[in-house]
Amino acid sequence: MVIADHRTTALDTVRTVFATAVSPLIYTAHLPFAGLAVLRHWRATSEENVRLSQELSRQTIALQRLSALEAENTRLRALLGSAERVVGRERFAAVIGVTPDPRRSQLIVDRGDGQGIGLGDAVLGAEGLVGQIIETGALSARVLLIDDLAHSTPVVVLRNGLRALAQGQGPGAPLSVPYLSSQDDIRLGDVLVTSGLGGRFPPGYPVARVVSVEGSTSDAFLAVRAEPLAPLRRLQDVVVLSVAGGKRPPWDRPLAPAPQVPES
Amino acid sequence: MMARPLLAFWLTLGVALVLTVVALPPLAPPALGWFRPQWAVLVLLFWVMTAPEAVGMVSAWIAGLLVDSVTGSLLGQHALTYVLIAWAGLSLHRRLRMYSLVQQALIVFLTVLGAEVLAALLLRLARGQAFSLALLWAPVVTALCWPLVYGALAPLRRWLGPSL
Repeated sequence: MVIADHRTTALDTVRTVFATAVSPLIYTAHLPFAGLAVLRHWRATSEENVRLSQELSRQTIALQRLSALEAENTRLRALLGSAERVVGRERFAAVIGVTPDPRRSQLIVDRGDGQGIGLGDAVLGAEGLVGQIIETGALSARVLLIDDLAHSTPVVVLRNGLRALAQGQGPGAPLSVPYLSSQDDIRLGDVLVTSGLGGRFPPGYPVARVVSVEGSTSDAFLAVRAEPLAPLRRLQDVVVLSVAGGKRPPWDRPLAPAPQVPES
Repeated sequence: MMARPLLAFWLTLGVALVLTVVALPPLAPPALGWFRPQWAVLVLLFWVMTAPEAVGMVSAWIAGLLVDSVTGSLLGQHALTYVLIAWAGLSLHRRLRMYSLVQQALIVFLTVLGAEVLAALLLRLARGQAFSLALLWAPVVTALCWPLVYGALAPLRRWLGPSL
């Protein structure tokens, strides 16, 4: 049974049934934290309201410029004759649980099958990529985080479009970026974004920042470490990006080097 | 009268599962996860010992699957270890009842240690995860929690009837 679950997808339905059955327990375990959050919100609401309305007006102004940019982008894309970028459906979800196993890096969110979340959907936070859905129940879903040992994210270096992989090294540890040689142009502080290769994640979302590059010209490969941008241990709300109809779009166009965005 | 102990088992197991997944405070280091007691094993051992005719290996297997599901392990990992624990508990239940709390806690330590080593082996096979000696903490903490669980569940046993 263990082998079947590890090697095949035959037990996915069983997992869904069990995940649905235990989700009330997970909600119960989350109750004290939810209560605390409600209390805290209740106290901070008025200040937050002011802050948010200011933020909203700032964003609205930024958005006006964005819509102009988008129109321009569409025009340029049409000129180039390339396909429109497919946009999936976004759903907000709250984190209601974490795995108790210190060797695994997983979260449970309060949206599931019933809300249209499917296996393999990308999970994003405000700061960057969080992970992907690996198990769904009727009312909850399990997220595999990008720093789990079993997770690899196809990325590109934002600065120059260099392709790489960001492999999880276990909870709390920085990601490892293997197979880069000393000829490759990667530096401290480089931001890695999803490349869209592999078809799992849409391209262009920030993933991690390079925190160490070790190795000399004599070494075959560099030892590159990158810290995830999303605060994986402190997440409260995430966005689940699923594609309508459950069909995966061809995200397979590599991301061109990003143009410099003017600071706002 | 098998229905009552079985009902009591599932209810207390539910509480154990909630305790299993209840989140650590966000500021706690992830390594603190190594110190979590295995509540479900304690509840299982208590009921296997108390009502062996009601709670057996089938219950243990289903309980293990539920634990797999809440912890996000490979389906069957805990089911396997729990069946083994139930088997050990069933074959020893007469002796276990005679033991003092300290001796019982020692048995708890050994069974949880076995379960943890098996789990680590499975993880090593499945995803090449390195062994960590930190897995020794869970058996220790679980054994220390045994008197607590025993004390909490013993009144329940009295309520269920004098035959148990």
